[in-house]
Amino acid sequence: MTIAAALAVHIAILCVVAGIFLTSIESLWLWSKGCYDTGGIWPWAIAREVYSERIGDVLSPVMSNGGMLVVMAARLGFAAALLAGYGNWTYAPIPLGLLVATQLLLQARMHWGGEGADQMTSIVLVTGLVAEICRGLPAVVDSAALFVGGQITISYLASGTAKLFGPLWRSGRALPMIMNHHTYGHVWFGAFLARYPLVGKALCYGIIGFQVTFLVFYVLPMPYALVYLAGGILFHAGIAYFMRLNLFLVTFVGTYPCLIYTRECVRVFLFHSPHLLRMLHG
Amino acid sequence: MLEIIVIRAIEFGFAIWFALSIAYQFSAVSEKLGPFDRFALLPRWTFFAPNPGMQDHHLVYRECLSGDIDLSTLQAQEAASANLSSWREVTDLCPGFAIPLLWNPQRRVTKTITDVSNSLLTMRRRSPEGAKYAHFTVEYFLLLHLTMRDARAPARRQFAVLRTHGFGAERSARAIFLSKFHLAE
Repeated sequence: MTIAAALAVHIAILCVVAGIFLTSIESLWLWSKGCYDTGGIWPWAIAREVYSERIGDVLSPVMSNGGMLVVMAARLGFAAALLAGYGNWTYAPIPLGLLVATQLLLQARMHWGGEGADQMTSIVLVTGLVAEICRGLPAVVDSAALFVGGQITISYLASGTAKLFGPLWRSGRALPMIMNHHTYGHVWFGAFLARYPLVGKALCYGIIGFQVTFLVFYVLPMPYALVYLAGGILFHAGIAYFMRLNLFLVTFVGTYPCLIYTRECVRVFLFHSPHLLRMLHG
Repeated sequence: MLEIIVIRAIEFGFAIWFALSIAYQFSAVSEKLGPFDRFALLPRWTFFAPNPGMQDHHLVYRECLSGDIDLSTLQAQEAASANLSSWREVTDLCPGFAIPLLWNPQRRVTKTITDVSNSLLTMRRRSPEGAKYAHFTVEYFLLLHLTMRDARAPARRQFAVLRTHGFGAERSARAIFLSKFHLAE
């Protein structure tokens, strides 16, 4: 199983852009409810306090309530343009560049309420833009795919290691506890895990095991390595469905082609396989 | 020649970004670099670890309509309790609905209250000075703003953040932050 770096980056970009499309509609809905207005939960008058007076004044036209409407509507348009133009990447750097600019703008505007999927979105957008601008330089496209694959690998390793330091995760009680509250919980699944605590424990240990051993994905031969990809898809689908963190599925699983590409490169490096090398370079 | 320079420069950029991303997973580094990372380009991949979020945060407030009662200390508030309203939740932040895998804009609103509450709590835990200065932070201003939106003079309001766990009747609650009383304008 192998994939070309350019295709892997394209798939990652498209998945992230699909996530931006959904988020932009959500953001416009939040805007319509007055969330960015002076009486809302994210008024610019308060958000600008983290900046100096001068920077606040400069940013005000785009970060105020009216400016945010323009930014979010524009993002919806850029995302739609990229999705509609799938397969035609000639002009992709233009909407992609505008998405990067507005993504960074939103990160600077929204000090609270962000999630891990937003960070992966920023990473893939910036990396994808570099790859698209330099599409004539295969070495740059290769680096971009490797970088995204590396980021998803760090995400699992760091998260798994952090869980080892959490008493609730170690005791297998974390997932039943997470499921038992309104913000990220799920009434039915929470009750199910309370009734069958062994299932909750098994899931906790399964998640930790999947994450801390993720480097094994790089050395396992196919088709056994697919167990890790299937585990990852289930993990992100579970987060998206039960915790209602919708972006986690499309954004993270969208980087898997880059992960597969990274795995092939690592295997070439580790096992010096000329066969793989030829496949990777087409 | 120029092509090679461009390739090496970009590869070097990715390598630095990647190295910083690894370092950023450690609290000591993320606390130092975090304030400079305005665009959130350095990720913190914790995924609900080591201590997963398993509590709901509620912003509640109570009101005093008499302008001449001393409410400056906890003891004074206790003595004036007959003049204070009961605690009410700020519930109208953004009502809505969720569709699994497709639609859940409210998560940003609830996460905002969680983030802001956690910031105030962290500040208070770090040092007694932190607790004193919490009242001058942007996070405090935001919660105060949400509490005072519909207040009219001469009312004074005090807000608190409650943490609850569980659903329905089994739910347990605990106050984690209490503000001063503030006069409505």
